[in-house]
Amino acid sequence: MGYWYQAPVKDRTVGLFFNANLSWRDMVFFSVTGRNDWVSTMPRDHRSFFYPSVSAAWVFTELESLKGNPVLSFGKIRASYAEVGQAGSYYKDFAYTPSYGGGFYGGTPISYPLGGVTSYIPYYKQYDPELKPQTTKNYELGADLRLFHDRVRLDYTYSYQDVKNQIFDIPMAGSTGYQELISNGGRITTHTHEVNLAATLYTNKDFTADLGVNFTKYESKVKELAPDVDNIMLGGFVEPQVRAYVGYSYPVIFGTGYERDDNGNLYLDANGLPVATGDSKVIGKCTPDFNMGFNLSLRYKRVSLSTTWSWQSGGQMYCGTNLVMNMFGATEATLDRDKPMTLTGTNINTGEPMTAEVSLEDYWNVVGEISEAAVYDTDFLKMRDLTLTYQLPRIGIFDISVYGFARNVFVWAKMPNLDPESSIGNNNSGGYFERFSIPNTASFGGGLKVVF
Amino acid sequence: MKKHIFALLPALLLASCAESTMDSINKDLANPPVESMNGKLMITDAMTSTAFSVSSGDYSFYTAVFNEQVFGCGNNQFKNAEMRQTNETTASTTFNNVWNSTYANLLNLKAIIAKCAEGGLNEGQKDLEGMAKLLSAINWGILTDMHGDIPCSEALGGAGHKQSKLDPQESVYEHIFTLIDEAISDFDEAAGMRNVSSQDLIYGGDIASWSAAAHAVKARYLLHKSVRDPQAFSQAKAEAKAALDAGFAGFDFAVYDGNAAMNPWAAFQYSRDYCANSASLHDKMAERDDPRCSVYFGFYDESEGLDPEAEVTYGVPGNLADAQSTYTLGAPGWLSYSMATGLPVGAAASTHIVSLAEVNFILAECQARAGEDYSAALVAAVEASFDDTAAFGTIDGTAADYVASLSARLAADPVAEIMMQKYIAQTRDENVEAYNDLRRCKAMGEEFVKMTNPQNTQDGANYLPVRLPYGNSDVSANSYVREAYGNGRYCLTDPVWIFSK
Repeated sequence: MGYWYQAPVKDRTVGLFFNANLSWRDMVFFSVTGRNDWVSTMPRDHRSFFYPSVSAAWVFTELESLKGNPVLSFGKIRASYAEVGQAGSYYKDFAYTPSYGGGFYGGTPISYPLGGVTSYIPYYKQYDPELKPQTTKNYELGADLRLFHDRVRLDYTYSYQDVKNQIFDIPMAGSTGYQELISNGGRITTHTHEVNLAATLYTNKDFTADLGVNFTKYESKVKELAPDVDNIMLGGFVEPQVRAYVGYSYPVIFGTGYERDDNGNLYLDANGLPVATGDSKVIGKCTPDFNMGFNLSLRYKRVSLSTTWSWQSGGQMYCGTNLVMNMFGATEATLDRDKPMTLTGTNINTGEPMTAEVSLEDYWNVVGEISEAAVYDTDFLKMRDLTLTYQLPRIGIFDISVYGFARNVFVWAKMPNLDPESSIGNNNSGGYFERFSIPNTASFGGGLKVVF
Repeated sequence: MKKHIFALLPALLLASCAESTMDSINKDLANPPVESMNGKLMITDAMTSTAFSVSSGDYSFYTAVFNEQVFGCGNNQFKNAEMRQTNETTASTTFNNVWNSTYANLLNLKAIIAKCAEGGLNEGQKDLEGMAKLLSAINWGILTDMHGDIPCSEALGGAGHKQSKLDPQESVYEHIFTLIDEAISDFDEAAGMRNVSSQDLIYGGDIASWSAAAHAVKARYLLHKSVRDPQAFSQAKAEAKAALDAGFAGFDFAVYDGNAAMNPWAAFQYSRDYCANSASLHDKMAERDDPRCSVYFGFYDESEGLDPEAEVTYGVPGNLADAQSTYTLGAPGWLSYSMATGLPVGAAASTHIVSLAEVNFILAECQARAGEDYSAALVAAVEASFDDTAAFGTIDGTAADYVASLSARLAADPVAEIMMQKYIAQTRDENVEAYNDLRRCKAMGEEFVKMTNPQNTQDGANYLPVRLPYGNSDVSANSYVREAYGNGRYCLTDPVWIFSK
């Protein structure tokens, strides 16, 4: 019998930090920070790195000529630049005791010690001895305006993020002897535009109406990856996966698709059924065109009503639940299962045009294993929240209100059956993968609020 | 006091982040660097991996279904393989795990061989060096037989060489013979050495056994060359004889205890239940009244285990309903569940790297092709198979009587019957070699073992893979392999060089 011994692992980070803030007449603000880190988990001579930030803001409504302006009550222009350095973890090529499992095996069919002895082999990851810290540079430009005695508030921010020397587990060709290289994987840039508008539309003693609108558009692009690397797995399954792919927006869904001829027609096999590609390819682009949010609050005397809505345009995701449900005939799409469906395409064996009638069961049995069939557009409009509140007359020192709410009640989505915001988590699939996840729930409730 | 603290701070800072201090902190005590590792501690896993993952494992599982030795069921990957669906048979993800683990194993072997060279940690340890070279030869051999042209001369370069070009199979084969010949001379020089001893899970450090195994391996790869080189039969015969004369008793990995260490086929069935009796194999054996039928075809029921009285059921190759079935068809005896343990009967069965039966079959085939007397070799081959099979159930009859009963068939076409017997004998876990034999014979215009799966031909096009697709890691990260892979359909149309004319 062996026993477990966990060898202690240590790391050390030493950091020096400074910051300075300057302001002049509540009108001009300026700040600088700087930080130097020394990190043990980086290779020799790559352990020390410095990252600064500067920011400036000008509240131009503090100018004498603009003070007390009836239209523009507040105006600020801001700009900033920040760098953030991030260390990776580096170990010199080392040996480890391999384990057997995964693939078809449940559990671990064999493990060391075996036959009374143990063994060590080169670790399947290689560490780049030239590993550099990852740097994120962020440029931001924006303006905050308040108009008509603060009744209209408008903010706009543009930011450009440039992540250089991003540290990745770069997948290597198995023929190199290794599976991954811990190295500086590449450069990803992101442009973001964000607009926020909040306005008090109307207000008097009995009635108020407030509206908030925000708009976000971002696009990330994979500019370059490590030499000889054009894509990197970020998460997902054996297939499909979420990947960063050079030249594409970030991230993309990468998996098996439909085999098509040069004109884009479906290839059909001898039974008239679609054929999956042998290799994975880009089958979906995750980033939406834009997102918008709305919230509206209305009050008439003691009754108030508020609601929040979201709208997403564009974007794609992988929805495994729909695919499996289609395969098992559990969705509406499979209702007319006794009627055959007609497919047209090109016969993969002869190259001739082909029209075939196939049963729904056969169709979904084959298509159920083609990930492209599970890629859906994520456009949606959703009512996130609706709250109705009644404010009771004040009793002594008590302010009492009763309210009822409904959340996640309506969603109109291009994707059938599921809420496009369902996902199996954000950690490694970026929220773009769904497969048997717990559905988003609608909730209804109410309450009594007492303030004193 | 304050002043002193300020003076101390930079000193402290410098001391705490000096490179040498940081180096020592970043040491992972559980994982020593490869450069300071003794090669004998590394060769152990090279043996495990060669047996468990490369000789057996995924290559064996899938080729067994292609060969109709095992029926693929369970309505998942093995249904796809059984139905010859290209999303399984030509997909680069299908063999990615074993592709990667074979190269990782070759990297380990390369490191061991380097340690045995001048100035290395294991300098002059010819026993260790010979083992590493022989195991390398087997790994390259299986890789190239399965995939054809592969990265070889430029491979195993790590980050320094991320994309390796493909070597023509002909030169990979030259490399294999170089490795085997060097291993044979290393073993000659290693007489009396015991540098590996208990770290050798196959022969316990016995060099004579390793030397015999080297001849057995050489016989196998010479036989593969027979399509391309007519001299190969006589050379393979000589090597098979040399192995047997040196006392070859099987190159087997027999460390499984059936519990904490489980045979890969048993572990696969225990995890997935994708294997069932093949009606095609049964027809061939029943025609011959093969006494091994009692063990080869079991009744499977997870709750009831093996029941000799129960009706044995078979999957008909290419039958969709059978392939979609789960937990209903019978399975080979060694994969059926034991009433006593609830585990597959063959949970502790050995893995054949090169079996005693195989070497005798090579000898018998070469003798029969040369018109020589093959009977002793054939009986020895079938006997080795009977001995192997008897571990999983009772066989009513002897190998000698069985071979005698085949006299009419042998008289009609001895090579055909020898190949059929080899095919039957290699059912348990030598499916990779059986796949090679089927392809080799086909290239010579011989079809001794008839394939019956109707899905092998669709619209007049071949759907029985003539080779296996490259691993996904290279298809996605190595442009040479990506280009060779294309859409993967070459696996149905282009035979590998060694098994084509």
